[in-house]
Amino acid sequence: MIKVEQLTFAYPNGMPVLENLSFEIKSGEFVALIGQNGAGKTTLLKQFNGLLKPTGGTVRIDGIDTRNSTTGILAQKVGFLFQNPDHQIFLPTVAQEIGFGPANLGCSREEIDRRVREAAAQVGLEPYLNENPLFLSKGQRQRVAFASLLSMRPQVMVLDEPTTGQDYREGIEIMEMVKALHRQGHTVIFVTHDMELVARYAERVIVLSQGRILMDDTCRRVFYQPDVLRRTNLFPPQIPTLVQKFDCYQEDFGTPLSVEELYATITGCGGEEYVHCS
Amino acid sequence: MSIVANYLNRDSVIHRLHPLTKLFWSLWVMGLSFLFSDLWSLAALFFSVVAIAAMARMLREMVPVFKGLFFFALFFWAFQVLLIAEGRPLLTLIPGNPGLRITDRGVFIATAMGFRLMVIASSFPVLLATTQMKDLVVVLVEKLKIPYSYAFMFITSLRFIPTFMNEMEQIIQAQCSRAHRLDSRNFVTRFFFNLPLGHSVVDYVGEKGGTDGHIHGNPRFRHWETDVFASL
Amino acid sequence: MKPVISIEQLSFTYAGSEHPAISEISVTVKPGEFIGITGPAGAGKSTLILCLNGIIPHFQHGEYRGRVRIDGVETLTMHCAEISRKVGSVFQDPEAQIVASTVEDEIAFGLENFGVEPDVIEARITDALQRIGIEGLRHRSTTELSGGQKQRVAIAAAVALRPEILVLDEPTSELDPLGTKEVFEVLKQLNREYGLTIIVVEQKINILLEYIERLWVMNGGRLVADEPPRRIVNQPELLTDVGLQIPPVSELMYRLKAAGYYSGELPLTVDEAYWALLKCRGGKR
Repeated sequence: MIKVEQLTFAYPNGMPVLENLSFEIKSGEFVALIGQNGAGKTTLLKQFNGLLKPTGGTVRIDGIDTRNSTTGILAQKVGFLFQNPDHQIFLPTVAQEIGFGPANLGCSREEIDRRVREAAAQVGLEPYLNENPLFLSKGQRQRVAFASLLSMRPQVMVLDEPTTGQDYREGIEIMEMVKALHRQGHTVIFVTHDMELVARYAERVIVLSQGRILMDDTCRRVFYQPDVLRRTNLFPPQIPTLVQKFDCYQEDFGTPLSVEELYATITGCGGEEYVHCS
Repeated sequence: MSIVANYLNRDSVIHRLHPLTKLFWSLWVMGLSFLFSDLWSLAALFFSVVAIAAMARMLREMVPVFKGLFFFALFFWAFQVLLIAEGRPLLTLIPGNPGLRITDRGVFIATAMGFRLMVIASSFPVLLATTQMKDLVVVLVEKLKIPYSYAFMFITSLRFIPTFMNEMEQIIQAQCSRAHRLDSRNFVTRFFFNLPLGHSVVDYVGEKGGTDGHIHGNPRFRHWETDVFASL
Repeated sequence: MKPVISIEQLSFTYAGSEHPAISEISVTVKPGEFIGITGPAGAGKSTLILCLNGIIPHFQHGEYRGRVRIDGVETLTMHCAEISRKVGSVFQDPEAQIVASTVEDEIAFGLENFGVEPDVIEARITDALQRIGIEGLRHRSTTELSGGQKQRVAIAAAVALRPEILVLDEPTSELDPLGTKEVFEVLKQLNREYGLTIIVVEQKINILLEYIERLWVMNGGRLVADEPPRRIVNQPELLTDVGLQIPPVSELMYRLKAAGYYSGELPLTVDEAYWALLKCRGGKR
């Protein structure tokens, strides 16, 4: 779906922000992009819908070279959710806001209505269609922004820190919505600083550090190589960190990511053997 | 034009001059440009500004400013030159129509005006690039007796220019991602497509303006904004 | 010990709003306490902070009831400058609260406003930068700092005024894990070494419980729990009832304890959980 080859990017008169990245994201993957502030995460995300164009190498979305396309055209393939929903929202009703994208794409009145209703249903906003988005809570505004992307029917969803500034419940609600879309076959790429969230949702993790890929592997393998993570000042979630304090954790605990997994391992094996080698 | 408000840290004679001297220099240069009206004096004045920039060892950074001004002056020139009908005709655009012609006097005056424009617009960036904003404010308050609150407002507003520019960029990108045609090359379409976004920035100002903005919100204010743009 | 803050029956309703943002809060804070506030969005956390630093009732209009006393004096009767001398504030967005273009000027800004002598300002800047451990940033431009650095500059600017109390409203929400840790390390040091009373609103419960001594849980404008972290993890429902979670390691040991595999104290951090898990077998027998 997304093919990145020797991507290099530098802002005008600046040092390169991304250096020689090559990777591929297949249709239907659930990818987390992690790294410190300033590692180039957002810069990389913006390559996927052509907001930024490579200064070296190529980015192909579904076969289209982003340099030969515009963000407007790519918007039908890649939906980009910004960190702050207020950057997106400016129309007086939720319905208009969701319909703005399809209207830009030149859809007919009926088609716009159909898409608005469909997208609103996907994020649970049907009761609010005639409300002014500014009177909604931050979590709901985030959903409005989200639905306004879904209405353009993109295959790939790109999310830049979707849970920042929201409380735990709102964050989980957004991620559950994203997960449901993923189950319907969407490709998801998200950036976050919350490692617990990564462990809970991502299948694949790409670790960026100073514009380069430090690791690109399954979630489990990334969090069980903490030395590499620590080099870029990231720390695995609590459960993997705890398990790795035991010398021969592999035999005793395996490589759990969640409380449930570790709890099952401990209670399943009778809670006896695992301490013998520590 | 990001250079306009930016101080460039260099060690030069110009940087070491008293801020008041530089302030008066830039006002004096501007004043002179209005007094002079012949081409050679104005050209000399412009090159004196360039020379000062060179002495401040920041000619390279000033090039984009001069370049931008040059194109602006050129546009202005092309406009002016057609409006002056006196003098010996050099070229008549539409044969038989005496109205649209280019005369030797027209070329002279338009070129002089072009230089005047460049002088006026380039002396201030040189001042701001060679003087730290706080020094300038201290001088304004202590020597010129400008009330502190005005000076403070001035310095704070300059501090937030990059923040707002960045915010504007984010908003434009967010709308582009919804297939809004902001990446169009056409200046006019860009302008009109930018209009509705103005209010997001105003909202942003409302939010950043007070530490309490995000709590109580400002729905009434925002509503008013929406109405204004709806009426457009 | 005499309380440094005492809040009695405090309620506040924003002008134009029908529901109170906070209602009937009564609580006292002793000098040198390190308190965390958490709760879902709209629980009234920020409003409570604004009542502590005097923005409510001095700048924010609305219906104000009850009292807030700082050092025994009611904030309603104090001048705003007096309150800000006692209570330093740090806000969520590092971008919005920094007004000057260099770190040094930013820290000097508040001092100048209080009319501190120039040579004293110099000494205070050096001291504040040292306390926060950011001497190296002194001459840097504020626009080129990372988020974590900006927040530490904001804390230094507040500390330079020598307040007795420091209140922070979600200071780490824009920061990465390293920046978050940097901020909490600074707060811990200010609290331990200089006895500063600290009240911090925070969503990241894992790190919060690791550092603070006392947690206030808010929901719907009310203070629904006021307990030390150790007690909070023993009663996860205090958090789950308002849609929050205890840290994963605490939850693990809580469940193991409930199932009879463990009987000791519940851990707050990964390190504590390691020792708890070692004792786990003994607990079962």
